[in-house]
Amino acid sequence: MIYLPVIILFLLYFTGIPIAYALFGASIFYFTFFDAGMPPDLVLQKFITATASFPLLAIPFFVMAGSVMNYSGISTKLMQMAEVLTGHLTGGMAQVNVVLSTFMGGVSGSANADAAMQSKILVPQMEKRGYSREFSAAITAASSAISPVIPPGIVMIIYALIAQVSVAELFAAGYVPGLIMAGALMFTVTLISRKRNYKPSRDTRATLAEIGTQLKESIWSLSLPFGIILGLRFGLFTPTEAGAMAVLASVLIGIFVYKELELEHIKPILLDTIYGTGTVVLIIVSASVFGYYLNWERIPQELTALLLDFTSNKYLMLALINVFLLAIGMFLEGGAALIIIAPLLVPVAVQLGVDPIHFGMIMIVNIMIGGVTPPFGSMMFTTCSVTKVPVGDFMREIWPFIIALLVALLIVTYFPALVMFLPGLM
Amino acid sequence: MISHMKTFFKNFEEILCSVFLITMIVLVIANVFLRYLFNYSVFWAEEVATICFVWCVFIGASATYKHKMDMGIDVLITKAPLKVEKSIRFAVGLVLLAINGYIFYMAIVFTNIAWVKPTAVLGVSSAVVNSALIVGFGLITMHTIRFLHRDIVGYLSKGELS
Repeated sequence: MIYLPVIILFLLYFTGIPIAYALFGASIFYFTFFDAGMPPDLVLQKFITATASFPLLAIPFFVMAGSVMNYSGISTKLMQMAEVLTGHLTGGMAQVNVVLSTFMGGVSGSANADAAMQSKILVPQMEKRGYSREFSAAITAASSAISPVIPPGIVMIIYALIAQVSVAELFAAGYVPGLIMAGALMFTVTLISRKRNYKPSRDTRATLAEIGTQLKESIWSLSLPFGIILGLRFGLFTPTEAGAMAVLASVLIGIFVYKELELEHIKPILLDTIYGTGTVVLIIVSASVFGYYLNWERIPQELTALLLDFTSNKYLMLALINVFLLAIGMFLEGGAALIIIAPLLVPVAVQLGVDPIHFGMIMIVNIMIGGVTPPFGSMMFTTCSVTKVPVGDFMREIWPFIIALLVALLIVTYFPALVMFLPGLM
Repeated sequence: MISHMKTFFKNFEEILCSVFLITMIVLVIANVFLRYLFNYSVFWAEEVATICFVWCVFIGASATYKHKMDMGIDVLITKAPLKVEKSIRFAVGLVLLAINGYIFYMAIVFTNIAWVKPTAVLGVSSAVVNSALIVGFGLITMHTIRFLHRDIVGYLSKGELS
């Protein structure tokens, strides 16, 4: 009976109600019809306390910084850099796609934004050079899973708030897993491209001089994330202030360095930020309200006890959690999944001696893989709807990349030293 | 003049949110500079920025609702026969009306109850924050009714809804 709201949640969700409203519906049902010991209108207090939090302001700021960078020519510079570095490899454009996502992580930090941008810009170019559209869509979706893992990312900020870990350390922990994912995808691209004879996009490897010239052009875009992490590390500003400074920095770079940012870009930038904030934060609020119900029924504690009863072997537990998260990630939107699940699982992980920062990376990598996995991955939907590739065709092309990402997940899960190496230096 | 008014109301949420958003970012950046340059910080900046954020979120939620931008899964019902799909969409509209209308109603009750409670820094009535819920969910409920009305008219004209 106490699980009825969970059933209602899925019922509402699968009839097409947006996740935030499905979560609201299920929670309100609970607080109205179950005797939860509090008047339902006080649930509204939870709406406000979940929103009125200064650290959350980092979200609109980083969304805005990403948008400013798109309009200020920073993304273009990153694409040129990716092309110079990897264009000569087999399957050149597909490799560029992966490397661009890795660079973009430092800029947009949102998988869906990255998937939409690359579907619009890269997929048509890949098609022109002889790649099938399904393959192009698949690699675009798969590589977009990297962006949230490379700092600074909104999902990482959300996790840091939930698990009460340092944002700077979590950011630092993201680089190695992101690079492992990129490596796994590039390897898979090479295998597929050899078989299908996908050609490099440039004839020769770029000379050091060429790389140097391009690096000089792109250095501003590439170094911004480091500036943010250093600023956080040395306590110059809070994560929220870092977001605001990132907006300021990208505006200044757009106006004075790349000279591409114009007054007419203000409107689309504001709209991007408003819509991005509206959807993401509403999901956070609704998930916190739903979490209130879970806590009230002591479901996290029960789940923890149940899991620990089952096994207290750290490695087996991590395997179990990974399978569970993958299943959840296939159905729920990433942010919502993280906010609901992280409070349930972080205590279990900590009890078994898993560092919460390491665990955060496992969760984020895992949930992002869920986002490209059929039947309901959100990046899959974004890519398919922009490129107009039917989901069925997409599914035939995506599975090698999902396997590659799962291998990356296994490495991230079972070699904590790789993940914790950079935060350990700080 | 009338066309200006029309544009204003059509983009009401976006305009309001832009104002809040710009206020937020200016306050936060200004505070960082004041702190390092003049060793001074505006004590109310954080609270005002946070209040702007709350407004931005709930009014912004109405904006994304208006444009149907919120993420949901409708692949399952699009697989159903057209008639079934339309009935489900109509039922979903009613459920959304119930959810949003109820939140709107509770927001009014809650804002009233919490009226006397002051905010932490400025000590103004917390209604300044809480009424964001009334306006936000009021607008969302309005859009829900608008969508529902459009659906009903659509069905009636095709004679598919008895």
